[in-house]
Amino acid sequence: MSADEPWLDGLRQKFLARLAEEHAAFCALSEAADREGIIARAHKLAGIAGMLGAPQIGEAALLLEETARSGDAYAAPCAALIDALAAATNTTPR
Amino acid sequence: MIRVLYVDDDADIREIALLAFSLDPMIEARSAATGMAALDILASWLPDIVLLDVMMPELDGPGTLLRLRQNPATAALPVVFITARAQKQEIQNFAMLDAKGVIAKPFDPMTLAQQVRAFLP
Repeated sequence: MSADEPWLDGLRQKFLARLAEEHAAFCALSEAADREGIIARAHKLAGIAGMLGAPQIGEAALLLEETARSGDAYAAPCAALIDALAAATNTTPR
Repeated sequence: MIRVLYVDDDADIREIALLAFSLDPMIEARSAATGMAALDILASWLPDIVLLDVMMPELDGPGTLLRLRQNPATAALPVVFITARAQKQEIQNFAMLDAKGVIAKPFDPMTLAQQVRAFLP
């Protein structure tokens, strides 16, 4: 995957370092049932994650964005993204 | 030299795109964070192609394209949309707006320049 390219290292490290912040943000948005906030944040995360070596997070974020934007219940994909972020945070060197 | 304007509200993605274009010595790329900022740049710098993120606050990608088409100086500029998981219907809508095509996001930084070149004569 392209994210292995050395010239992306700096951006990739910056992205990985902010996954804990993303996790906390999605927990708060979910707790607040903030659909618009979830759509906006998931959209940004979906765009960047796949380019920086976290395709599973990108796919989960895209599914959450699409589900929330459609008006459907988004609790399940939101929980899945939060789980993916928690797992990535726990395995990311801090 | 091929001049490219990349428009996206995500600063990290703009940085990746500019790094990706810097791999091609024949591409000169600039970026803008909003549709309005892009219009400002285009008033003094005309690229060979414009890449537009679809969803942006205030002035989105399709809105920016409409503004470009209304201005004689930019009416003929080739425009490509950057969007996540574009559906067939969405791509058809973009074509009706006179876009040259779509690049899927996330894009591969290593082939972005090549993808853009494919839209140019």
